[in-house]
Amino acid sequence: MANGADILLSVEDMKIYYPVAGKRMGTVDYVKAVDGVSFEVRRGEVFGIVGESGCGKSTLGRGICKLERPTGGKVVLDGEDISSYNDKQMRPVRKKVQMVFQDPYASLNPRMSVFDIIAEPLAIHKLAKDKGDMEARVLDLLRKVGLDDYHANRYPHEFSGGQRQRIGIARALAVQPSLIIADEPVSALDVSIQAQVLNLMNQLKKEFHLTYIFVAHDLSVVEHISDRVGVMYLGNFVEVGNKESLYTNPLHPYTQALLSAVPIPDPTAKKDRVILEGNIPSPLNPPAGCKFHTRCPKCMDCCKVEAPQRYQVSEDHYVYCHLYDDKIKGGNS
Amino acid sequence: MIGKKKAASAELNEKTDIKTPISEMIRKFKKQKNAVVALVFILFLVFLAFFGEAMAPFKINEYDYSSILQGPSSAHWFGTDEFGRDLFSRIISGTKISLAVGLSAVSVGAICGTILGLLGGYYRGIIDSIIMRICDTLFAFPGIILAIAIVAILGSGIGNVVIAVSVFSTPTFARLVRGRTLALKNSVFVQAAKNLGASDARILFRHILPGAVPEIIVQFTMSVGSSILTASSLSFLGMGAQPPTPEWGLLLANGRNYMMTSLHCTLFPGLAIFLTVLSFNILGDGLRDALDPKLTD
Repeated sequence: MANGADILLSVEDMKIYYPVAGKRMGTVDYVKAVDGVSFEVRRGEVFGIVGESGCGKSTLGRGICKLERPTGGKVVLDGEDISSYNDKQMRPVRKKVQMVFQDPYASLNPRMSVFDIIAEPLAIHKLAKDKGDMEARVLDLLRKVGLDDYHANRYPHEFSGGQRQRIGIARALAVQPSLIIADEPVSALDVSIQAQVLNLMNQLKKEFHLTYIFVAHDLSVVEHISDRVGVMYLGNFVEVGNKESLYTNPLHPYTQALLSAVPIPDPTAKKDRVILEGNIPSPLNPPAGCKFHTRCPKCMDCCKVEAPQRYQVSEDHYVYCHLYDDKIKGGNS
Repeated sequence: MIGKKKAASAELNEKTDIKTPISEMIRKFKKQKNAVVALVFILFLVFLAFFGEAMAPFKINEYDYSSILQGPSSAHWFGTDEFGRDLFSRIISGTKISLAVGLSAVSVGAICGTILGLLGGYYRGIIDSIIMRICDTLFAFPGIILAIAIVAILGSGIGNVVIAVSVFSTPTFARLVRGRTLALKNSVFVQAAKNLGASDARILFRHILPGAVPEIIVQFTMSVGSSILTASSLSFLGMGAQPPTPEWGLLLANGRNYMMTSLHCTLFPGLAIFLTVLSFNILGDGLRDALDPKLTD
């Protein structure tokens, strides 16, 4: 898969389980939020993760930067295996990977001024030489995300959602990370503001040579910003591929259903909607075999028994589905 | 008319320019007349605590056997006690003792309780269990009984009353701060700070503690009132301040013997305790409304 490309982050078989009380007294069941996910992110790309709510996409993002402790699996960031790091060992790593959170109202401390919020990462990692340097850098960051100097002394409640998200982005940028995990950064915003924030993120990506992992449930947002896209269902990827190939030629029945649900801004256009039946099964007790088989329109017998492996269908397009088992010989990587 | 409106909106803009959480709080507090009156009264008490003894018309232990148990007059505003001592002087001199006992005991309780609550709520596990079980045990006693027990062990005296009152005010703060810590620990901005690499101490003191401060301030004010009451009760029962200290509870206890004939001996110390505790409670209520972000006007 590597193709000699520069791999910034590789995640192998990541599992994040939450223990819950079992049905019988004394037993423990696990909610399998992320269940053995592997993928790689190349330096300089935008890797989009889409899926319906509850599929584990946010948990995956949080697991990478250890906000959730992964139950198992390996995370290699920039050649450094960080999977067994404790909080103290993670501290220098956090300069490389930062997060932008979904809810800009909750992610900023209401009792701190914008200046203090953006200065905090600089103070934690001792990145500023003195007070003057700190001030210059904070104001520079504010300007970079499209805010003004005089905003520095204000408090989060005085800003709109879009402005707050800009503050959140400035805070993430302060440590000059190489990877930013954006956990639904625009889903709490108006559509017009979404575009502004997405454009800002694109522009900052070029300026600071950033790599993004962009988690979202909105397919068109992901299409707009991503280079490669992974589609998640119930804790696993079902399809990973570059944007063009995945959007023009979706292979997995789930991806097909998902894409067919995107509204087309043309009232006369006819489209074939694949309507899925039923709800997403509980991650507490996921179906055996392929997790999608309970809702899959093309379900076969083998799907109910055996979980599909990863099949390569084209150079940069992988699918986890038995339908592609024999179509491409030796495509199994 | 239009000019007036314009001026008003300009003024509004000027004001909203500096909208820190503290200025917001002061603005809301000023709207509550009761609480402002209570605050003024408490400031007056603080003034008395510093200068009361010096300003008193008589010395606190100036005996005058020619005028015992006299009612209020122009010479003795609050009357005299069974030794002819001036009650007015004794009461304003006693302000110092009551305020000092209340404030110091609650400060100690608040500091200990806050630290315990932060640790328990943030680290959970065995530390939390131990702290909370001890608090539960202390909560199981009525405050005054617990204080009596502690004073009985340590011996009577005003210093031991302070210790007793701080011990029973600690668990209230521990429980309060633990609750806030549990809630704030999972808030997104604390997660964000963690993601930035902030140390536990930084998260606890820069992010969680400031979020708990409003609750602590309110609880502190309320507790000062009830601590003054408890300390006076202990003195009243003879376990706190010893005669001839002009402690309000003690004045009340002395006056009790002459209640049928000389009501002023109990009325004025009682009023002093009543007004002080009441104004701390009203101030606490006012602060709670001023600090609660959910109560918008």
